[in-house]
Amino acid sequence: MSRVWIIFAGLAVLGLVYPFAMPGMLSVAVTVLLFAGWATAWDIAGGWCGQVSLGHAAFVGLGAYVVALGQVELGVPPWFGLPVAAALAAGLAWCWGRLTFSLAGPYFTLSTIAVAEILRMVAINEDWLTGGAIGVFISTLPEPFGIDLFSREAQYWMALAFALGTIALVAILSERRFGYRMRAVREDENSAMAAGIDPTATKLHAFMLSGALTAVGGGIYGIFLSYLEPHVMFYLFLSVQIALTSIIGGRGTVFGPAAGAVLLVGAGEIFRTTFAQANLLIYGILILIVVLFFPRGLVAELIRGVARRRYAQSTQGE
Amino acid sequence: MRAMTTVTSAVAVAAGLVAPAAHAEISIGVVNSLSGAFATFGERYRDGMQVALDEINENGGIDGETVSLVVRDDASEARNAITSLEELGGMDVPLVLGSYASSITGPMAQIANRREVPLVVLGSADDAITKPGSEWVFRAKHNTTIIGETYFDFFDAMRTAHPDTELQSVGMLYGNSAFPTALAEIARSEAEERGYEVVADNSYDQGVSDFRPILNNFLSAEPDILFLVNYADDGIAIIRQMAEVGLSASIIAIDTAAALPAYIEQTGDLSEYVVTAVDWSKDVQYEGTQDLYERLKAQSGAEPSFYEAEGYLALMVAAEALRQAGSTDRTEVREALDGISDFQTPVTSVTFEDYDGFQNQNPIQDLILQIQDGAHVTIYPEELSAGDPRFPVPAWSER
Repeated sequence: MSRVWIIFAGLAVLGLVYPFAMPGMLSVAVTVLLFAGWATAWDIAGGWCGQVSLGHAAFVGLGAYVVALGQVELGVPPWFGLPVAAALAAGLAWCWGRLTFSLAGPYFTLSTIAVAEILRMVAINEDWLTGGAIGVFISTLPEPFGIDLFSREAQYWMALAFALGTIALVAILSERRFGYRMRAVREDENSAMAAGIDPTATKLHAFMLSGALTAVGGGIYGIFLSYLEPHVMFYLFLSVQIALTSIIGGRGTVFGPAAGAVLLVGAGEIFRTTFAQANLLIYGILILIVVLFFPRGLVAELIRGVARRRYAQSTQGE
Repeated sequence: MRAMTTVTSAVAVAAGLVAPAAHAEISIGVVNSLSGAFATFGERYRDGMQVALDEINENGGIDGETVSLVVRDDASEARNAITSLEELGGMDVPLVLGSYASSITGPMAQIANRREVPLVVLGSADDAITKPGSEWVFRAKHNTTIIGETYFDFFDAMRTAHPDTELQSVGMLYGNSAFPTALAEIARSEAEERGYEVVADNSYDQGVSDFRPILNNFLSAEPDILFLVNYADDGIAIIRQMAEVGLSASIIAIDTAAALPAYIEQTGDLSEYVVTAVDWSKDVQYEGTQDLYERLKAQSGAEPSFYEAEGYLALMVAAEALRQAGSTDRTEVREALDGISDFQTPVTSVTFEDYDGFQNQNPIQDLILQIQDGAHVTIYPEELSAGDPRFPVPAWSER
């Protein structure tokens, strides 16, 4: 078993034990897990494939709205709503990518902001579909096998499955051909093309996968909040937070985004309860410190440090 | 202050462990927006609650027990408020107050109901919080329906008092977030019900700063009444640009933005004649209002608004319920809240009622204020007013 899977197994055990060790702190854990999943999903496009999106709130919102409206308007339970949300998000990512992947670098990033804003406007103005600016309340949910989906325990397990599933998928992809293709496209599209890789198809697939996974997390987030408002679900700052979590943790690494989620959400929570009004200022300073001293992200710097030390040892040994 | 609250609550917890219950403090949970987008409002609620807390403790606390607040900042985000409410739910607090924005208070209300924690709404006016509501959620302050109806009651009163001035058409301009949209919806149905005609109806995205194209359209629609729902920054930009393009009407009503004392400071003479609905003002003719005004002003160090008063009201109601319950058991506190009837405060009298689909809502009397000579003056309803309405609003060129 490779080192990646040993760490993964450790995380899984931690996740399974946590609710029994800290039953009073489940809400924070749900938030950490959702951000870990979102940031890992974001990283498929943003880190592995080099397509930085600042519009991932669009997928979060889409997932949340599909699950909520499916339940409230059509009586479709979340376990059907979630795959539908993922499929719709993949479809959205396909259209979105088709239109914008011919744009290079910052232009793609700018277009992602625009797409998220368009969805926000749709959610605000198309009352018949989305409940408009006033939002949607989820007041009842089905109870499969007597499990209350409103309970934090149930939401914790859903969020844990989402986060672990996303991380596992990335761990698998990183060792598969698709993972290498993504990295090749990230490093140099022309060279990748010369090596027989279709950059547009690779970017599209990465983006669709990223979007679909983010939407699944969005659906769970919708159940967690049980009240959706367009300004909250399609919030530009949420997109930034997702990207930031991944960047701080370490882009293009399996566990970096999850580490970023633990650090940012955990720190945010501690700052909020200890520093009162100054919490956002201190949060900002923390981000600045990480960006200045760990420019590749925490986990990426760690891996680099280990690799360099090994190399140094191996050359000294000769 | 925060450190003190933490220390006192820590002491309270410690005292609860070693001393008999009679010497323990009563801790009330608070979830408030003290940082982030809604901090301006959150600070006002904090000041209001502090004045109430001082008053309660100076008068011997609740059955001789000192009251303290366990305050959590939600940083203006719903997920933090949920986390905080659950943390407080696991602590020894009989009830919780919170929060300002509807997008934060809505999820809180659902969790309060599910976890059976009595919740007294601090700032949200969203109808959905108490309609259909739940048996665990209580609101002493106004809701969107009350606000909308009060504006139209006032318009009706002006119609009756000035039959020679035409008050028929309404132009509406409001932000596209939840509260302004909901208030506009109420206004639209009230207008139809009472025989007004909506001749212009526009929403704008929060963050827009150039309203001239919309205002020019309003100019050609010539509404008799301008009904605007704006937040602080957009509200200031809109009144400035109205003066620029020359848009006026017999009544100019601006909700939310115009109720803040800072609005008058920042717009100067432009804000004259503007009317706005609130649930408390410093000159309303209730007993003890002047005294409360002085205390709120001393606490906040600036001109207080109805936000401070709402914070004060929420905590006074909570204390009254604890007093009546004679216990910190949540079910008994909930029952005591449910039974509060005709409880007099300098902000309003409180009775939690179920009516028109609302549950545990205080049918509070809202007031209309008009900005006259650079100050808010209560002009409606007549029996509570401190001055006469200045009507109609003259054209900009004739001011």
